[in-house]
This record gives sequence, C-alpha cells and structure tokens, in this order.
Amino acid sequence: MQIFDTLDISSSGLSAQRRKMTAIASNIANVDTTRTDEGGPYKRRRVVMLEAPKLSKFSTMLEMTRSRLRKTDDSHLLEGDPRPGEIFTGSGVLSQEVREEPIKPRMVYDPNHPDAREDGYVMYPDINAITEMVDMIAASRAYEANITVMNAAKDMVNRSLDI
Amino acid sequence: MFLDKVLFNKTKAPVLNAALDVSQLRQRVIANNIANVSTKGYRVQRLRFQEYLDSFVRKPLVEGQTSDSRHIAIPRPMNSPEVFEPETELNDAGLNNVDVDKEMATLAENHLFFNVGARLLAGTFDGLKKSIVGRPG
Repeated sequence: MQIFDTLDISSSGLSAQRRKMTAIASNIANVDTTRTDEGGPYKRRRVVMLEAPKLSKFSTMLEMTRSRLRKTDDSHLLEGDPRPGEIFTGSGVLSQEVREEPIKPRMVYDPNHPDAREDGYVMYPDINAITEMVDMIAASRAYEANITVMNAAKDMVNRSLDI
Repeated sequence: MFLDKVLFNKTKAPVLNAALDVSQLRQRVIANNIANVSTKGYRVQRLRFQEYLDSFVRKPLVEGQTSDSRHIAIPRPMNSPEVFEPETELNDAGLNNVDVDKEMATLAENHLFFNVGARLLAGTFDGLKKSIVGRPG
C-alpha cells in the first residue's frame, strides 16, 4: 500500500544505521583482538550504504499505455510527449558490510604475548577510537532523523483516518 | 460518476485530495533522502508539484464535455507531480548532496501541509453531511 511506503523507506534507513552501529560496537570491542578465525588480527568492519533501486515504472507505464490515443495516420499528433528521463522516487537504502584488510596493523613489542611474531612484535588491529566515535555519533544522528520522518509519517496516517 | 459531478466536484474535495496525494508523495521523497543520508554518491530528489496543484485551482478558458470514451478532454490533463534531481553542491561531509537540515525543515512543512489538508477535507465532508441531513432536531 502506498500509504505505508514511507514507513518502509524510513525503516530501511533505520536498519542500515543500526547495522552501522553494530559494526562500530564490534570494532571498539575488538580493539585488542589479535586472534581471529581467518588468522591474524581483527579486521575492521565497515558498513557501506547503497541506494535501493528506483521503483519500477510498471504501473505508470500501464497507465500511460491505457490513456494513449491511437495513431492511425502519419499526420496525427502524438498525445503529449512521453517525457524522457523521468525519475521515480527511490525505495530507501541498502547496506552492505565489508571487512577491511588492515593496511598497517598496530605493532606492539611484547615478546611474551602468545601471538607475538618471531621478532617479538604483536600485530593489533588498526582501529582508531576517534574515527569510530565520530562514526557512532553520525550513525545515531542519522537514526534519529529517520525516526523523526517515521513519526511524521505515522501522524499523517493517523490524521488521514480522521477525515 | 453522477454523485461525483453533482456533489463532490462542487466542493473543495478534489483539490484537497490532490494536495494530500502530493503531500504523501513528497513525504516519500523526503524519507528517501533522509534514509540515504550516508549513502556515498546519492543524489538528492525533489518533487515538482506546483503546476499540478495550480491546475485544480485555476479555471481553464475553455472546458469541454466528454460524453464518449473516445473524446479528448479539454483542457488536457495536467502534468502529474514529477520527481527531479536538482544539481546542488556536495554537503560538508562530501558523501552526497543531502542537506539534513533542509530535509528536516521540508519534512516539518510537509507534515503541517498534510495536517491542514486533512483537517480541511474533514471539514468539507462535515459540511456536506450537514447539508444532507439538515438541521438536527
């Protein structure tokens, strides 16, 4: 139903931001993790956002075909332009999680550490707490913005029930 | 429909209907912009709807009757509201051109717009009902 589409869009935003938040939490929790299943230090999790595909134009195309006049003669004019390049509203956001290869692991000299290399250095994940905190604030603000939109949409639905 | 012609089309209901539809669509566009606030390379969308709403308010010079399904309506049906992507600068984060403050302001405006429309429409129906039922008692 069209009336609930807005809620779907906002909820896609909410889940994308929540996913980002989970990744950040995991990054901060694993700031000292030297051992992973794949071997090596923990790899930073990062969530990338993608725009969800634009809505299918099918229903609009159907309407256009139905209303189109028939052209039985070459000199007939077409009923209006088909309006090229028309854009349709998107349908929210998609998120994707990627594991970043540590470009430069943090090296700490600790020969007694069980994961120390032969030269005595331990590879720690290269996680910058400040970057994570900033990302966290951004994600939580974006989450709030989506909630505001959602509340507005809910209120609109409620109001329309009063008509 | 007969009832539409004699009853509803004489009231403000059609234009309010259109206004609510526009508002609903606009809400969608804003929701999408805000949902994509951290999408890299996303391009902000806006809705062009002024012409569409104007077509309900402004009286056409010539109006044709359509008594047959093959007749062409005069005036031509107006352009439906259209979504477009304005060319604006990237925002401060440099990811995309979504300006959250602007979107929130538009959202608040649209919200009020919808509430006003809904209230007026409710009032229209209320008036219609009163005129049908007449004075109570």
